[in-house]
Amino acid sequence: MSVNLERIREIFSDYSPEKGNFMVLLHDVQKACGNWLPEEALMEVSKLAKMPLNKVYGFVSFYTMFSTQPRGKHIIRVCKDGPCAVKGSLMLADLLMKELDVDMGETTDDNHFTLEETACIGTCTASPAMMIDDEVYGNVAPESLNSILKKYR
Amino acid sequence: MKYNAKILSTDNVLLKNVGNIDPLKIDEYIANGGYEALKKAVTMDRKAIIDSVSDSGLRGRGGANFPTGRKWLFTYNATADQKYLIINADEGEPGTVKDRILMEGDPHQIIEGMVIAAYAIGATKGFIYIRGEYNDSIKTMNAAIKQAEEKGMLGKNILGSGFDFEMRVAMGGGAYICGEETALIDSIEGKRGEPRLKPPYPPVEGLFKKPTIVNNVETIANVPHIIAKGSEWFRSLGASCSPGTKLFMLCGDINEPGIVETPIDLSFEDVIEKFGKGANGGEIKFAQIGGSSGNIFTPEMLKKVWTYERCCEFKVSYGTGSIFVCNDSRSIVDHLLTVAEFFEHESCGKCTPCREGTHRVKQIIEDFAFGEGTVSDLEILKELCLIMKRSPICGLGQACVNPVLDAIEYFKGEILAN
Amino acid sequence: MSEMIKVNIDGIEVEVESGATVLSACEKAGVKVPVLCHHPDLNVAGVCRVCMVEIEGMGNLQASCAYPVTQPLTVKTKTNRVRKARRMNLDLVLAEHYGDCYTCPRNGNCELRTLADEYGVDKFKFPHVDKPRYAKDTKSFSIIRDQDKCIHCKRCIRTCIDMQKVNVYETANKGHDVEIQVALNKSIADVVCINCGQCVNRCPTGALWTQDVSDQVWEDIENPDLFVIMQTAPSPRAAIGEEFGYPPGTRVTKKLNAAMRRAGFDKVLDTNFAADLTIMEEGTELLERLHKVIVKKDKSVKIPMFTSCSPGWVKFIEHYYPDHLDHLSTCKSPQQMYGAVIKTYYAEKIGIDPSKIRTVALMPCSAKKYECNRPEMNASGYRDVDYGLTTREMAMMLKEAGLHLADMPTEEFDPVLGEGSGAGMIFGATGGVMEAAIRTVYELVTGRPVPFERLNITPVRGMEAIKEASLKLEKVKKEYKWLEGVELKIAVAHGTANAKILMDKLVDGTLDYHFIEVMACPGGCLGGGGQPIPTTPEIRKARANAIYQEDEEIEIRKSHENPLIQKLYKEFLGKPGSHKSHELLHTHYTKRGQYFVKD
Ligand SMILES: Cc1cc2nc3c(=O)[nH]c(=O)nc-3n(C[C@H](O)[C@H](O)[C@H](O)COP(=O)(O)O)c2cc1C
Ligand code: SF4
Ligand code: SF4
Ligand code: SF4
Ligand code: SF4
Ligand code: FES
Ligand code: FES
Repeated sequence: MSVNLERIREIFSDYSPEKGNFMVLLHDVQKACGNWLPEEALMEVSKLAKMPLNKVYGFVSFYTMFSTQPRGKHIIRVCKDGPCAVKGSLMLADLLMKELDVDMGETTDDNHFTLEETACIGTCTASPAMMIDDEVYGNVAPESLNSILKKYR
Repeated sequence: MKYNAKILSTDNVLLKNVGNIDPLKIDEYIANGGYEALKKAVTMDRKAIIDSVSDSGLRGRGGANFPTGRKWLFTYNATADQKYLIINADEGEPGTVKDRILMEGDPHQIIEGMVIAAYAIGATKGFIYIRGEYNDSIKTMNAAIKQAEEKGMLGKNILGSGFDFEMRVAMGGGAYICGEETALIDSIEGKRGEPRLKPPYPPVEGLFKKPTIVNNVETIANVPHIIAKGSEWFRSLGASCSPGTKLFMLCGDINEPGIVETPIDLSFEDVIEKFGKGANGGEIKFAQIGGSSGNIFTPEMLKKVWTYERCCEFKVSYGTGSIFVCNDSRSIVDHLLTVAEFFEHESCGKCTPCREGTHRVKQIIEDFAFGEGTVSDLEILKELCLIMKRSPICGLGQACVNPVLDAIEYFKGEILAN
Repeated sequence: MSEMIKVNIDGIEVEVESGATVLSACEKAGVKVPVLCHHPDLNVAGVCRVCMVEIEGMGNLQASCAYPVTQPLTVKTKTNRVRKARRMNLDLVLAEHYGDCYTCPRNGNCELRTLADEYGVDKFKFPHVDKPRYAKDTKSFSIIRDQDKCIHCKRCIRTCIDMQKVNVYETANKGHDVEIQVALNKSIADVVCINCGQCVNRCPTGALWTQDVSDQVWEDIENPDLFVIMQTAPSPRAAIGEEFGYPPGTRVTKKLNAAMRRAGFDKVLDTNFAADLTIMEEGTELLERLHKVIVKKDKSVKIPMFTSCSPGWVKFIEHYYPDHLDHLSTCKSPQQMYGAVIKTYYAEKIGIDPSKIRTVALMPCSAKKYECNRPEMNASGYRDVDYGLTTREMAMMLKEAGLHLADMPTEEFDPVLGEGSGAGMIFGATGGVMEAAIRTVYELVTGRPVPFERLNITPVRGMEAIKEASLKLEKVKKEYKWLEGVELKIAVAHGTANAKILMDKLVDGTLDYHFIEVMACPGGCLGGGGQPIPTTPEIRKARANAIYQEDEEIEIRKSHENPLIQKLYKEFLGKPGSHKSHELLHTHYTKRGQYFVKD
């Protein structure tokens, strides 16, 4: 997919360092680019934010929510931390890998789903937890997986 | 269930509104007595507000327990053309959900606390830095900010006081270390979230090199109540050295997981039994308190009331207040491995002992998990952990070895038997 | 001056200024503390954690390089806690370091190895990485990166970003996956790197190095069909002694001549000669530009004119100020001018077919390697210069051949284009090109030598970031009447961060000078990226002294008085700025992006 530079310019028209909104806008750029940040997008951001490319890249690579590799339309994030782990999140991850036929960090062949691990997502009193895009799912029972996925297929 | 967390306690202060009002309606907050404290505060002397918070004995709820009033005083005393107030909502300690509940359930309580704090220290700009994964919190806070602006609780000339305060939501991007206040500040500045060298500390030199107060969400949520009801009232809650209520989260092997608000006058065992209906799947083997970097508490220890003073005496901490219960079917080595993997990934990677140390800690624990660890490995692990406690730049590297050292002390036999 | 504060280091009392680091207090007390990420040229990083000390009253150990003294402190540097922490942190670094010391260019001069040795890290506590994990980046003409040897001290980042303001490197990723990367993990050849090599000079390990061409040079030396000509710049001569154990600032020019002849170079020439040539051309260009601007009011001609002999600086302006390339003098650097003259005039003089000549330049500089490979640098019909060798490579070549400078007799340069003036010599120091140019231009215009004692134009000397001076042109010769009363305003900047300050003013339209010298490296060429490691502020000063001393000892101290130069113009080039000069000695520039290399 080609990068919509016009859209990136629009997003960054609100940028100013004092507003502390570099990250906020970068999230929007990533959404606009289809869940990842292609090279051209980073170069455009670098120009618009007057931030050298090495710094933009250093920034993007630091934060795990950003990706410089293509990702699917929907991102599934499974929590791997303690409280979820004891409640079966590892099994959940295994099931998802089988169901989608991908490894952790990979994208399905039809570019529909990307499966990722995440650190705790603040849903530990309802473990195991996962997120699909912006939506959080707690107390995810293995049986319910398919009906959840269906919503995104 | 919207918040994915059950509120288990009933006699609540901070959680009073959560679930009972519509967080997206400022009028409901106001109808329940909201923004009264702010009205009172803007008629008060700024220093008097700080004194009141100091007198209340409120300590930071972000994990470090620093007295809030004392911190504010640094920034109050600093002269600068601009000061900032930042609320730390990067909640990332596994097992911790309290800030999310407060933001999504009662956002105006936080805004009110922020405006009072900003007024007291003289900050005209503020941020609430919310971790990127918390979409609902971000949406709720943004909506609440807008409403508060419309009602004149934020923006120019707040409640006719002549005081201006502009606040925005800043976002995280999936880096636990941005909960560390100087990393958070750099992150807002559009940089990699690597902790700064200290001194200087933020109250003197923080965001854009200006004096900056960073407070936790729960800390700031206490402020309207202290102003409205007075520091006496606050001190009457809980033990004299740890006044006020504290939010605790019950997770792991527990019958009724959820969130509890209580003064610190009961033991963790009481919290587990009374609110969480006890452990499930077996007896309690240990609980890790305060997230991944928190201490490991044996069942014995859980029986005590852990006031701030007692924590200091025994060199432990209740951190964020999460109580992660593990029953006797759980392996300590497996647990340590999960924790070690977390830190290997979440270290910012800036300083040697933490970047390399977390990796080696994980490697050694992995050896034990595969049954390949030896007595001398355990000795090296301990030596490494002791040095990691003392030589990294920030609290992550220093604290991430707590559970390992505790486990070596309490479960040495089990580790070696692996 | 700020307040002085007492610090007690291992029982020794010293006083330091408030805000100074504990490390500087230790230095003052004569207590040695090991460092890895600290470098005297750079901002504090505090990341390696080997400089740990114990400060009384503090629970944690503190990094002495980062901890500011703001109140009286009692510091202990040798307790067991300190020793163990240092060892552990070194051990952690080493375990993660894949290196092969025997084949490493820093073997013998490696800060990591030295510390491992001093701290007795005699056995690894942790499994050691035993396989390379990265491919070496060898695509650049100048800089080689071997990430397997990187210890994440971030000196290169601080050098490139803070000191040079070029922005090549940044830390990438997080946690144990952290790497020091070029933007988007590209090859350094494909980004904005100006090849200054300053990062190489500050790297404590062999993770950064310069492209080594000595093998090709050896091959060519041995090839009976080829005639290999060496030209040596002033700065390597003032520094190469350091590689052979002489104190910084020792002058070894004549011994070096002998050594290089023994190594097999057919001729050994002095780049100072070409520096004189540069002055003639650049001085003439300056006067022409001034004439066009002042007399003809020609708006297309740009003033101030910037010097162009530093290839790092040239690439910097090409990347970051591509719309202002008209301000750059069109003169090639001395190295390239020399190459072009050697393969034309000199080839004829010595009766050798230029296709059989290989020119090698001994330079303090890694950017010269890139420069001689620029496609446009072939005015003679051949590559002007075939190889650029750094001071370090030359030292290695000589050592390899068993040629120790101490054992060498003293020998002169080869004749015909042999020698340069003192003006050419001082090209090596920041301000030197300016001083040399002014010595000539002033005299051309007024007929009198510059009004400075012993010709030393002191306002442009020294290590100040940006130096400025002005010189009133009075009682000028009649052909320069239009310059009568003009106050010639000049400035000198070294290090591209300082150059950037001037360029930003140029962009704003507030830069009011006629002529500006810029050298990409701090201190000028004597602090070049190809110079011996370490290079520190003190060492730069020592090298500068050596260079200025040599200038004073050379009989001819003005470029235009160099008889060989006069002869070259008479016999070959005509006059400065002639058509032939332009063909051979001048060049053009490329507009490049701020992101990736375009060409
Ligand atoms: C590794 C690390 C992570 C932290 N994460 C958080 C966090 O998620 N939320 C928080 O409020 N404080 C966190 N802190 C503590 C903050 O640095 C800071 O002390 C706190 O925000 C101050 O607020 P308080 O005084 O109100 O507690 C963290 C500290 C460290 C060292
Ligand atoms: S201790 Fe860890 S998280 Fe903190 S600065 Fe060092 S590497 Fe970063
Ligand atoms: S960098 Fe130093 S330790 Fe590493 S291989 Fe080279 S000489 Fe050896
Ligand atoms: S050679 Fe110079 S420009 Fe290139 S990376 Fe090193 S310091 Fe930066
Ligand atoms: S490349 Fe060299 S200077 Fe740069 S971080 Fe690695 S070891 Fe340090
Ligand atoms: S541990 Fe999984 S959501 Fe917190
Ligand atoms: S030299 Fe001080 S931390 Fe590296």
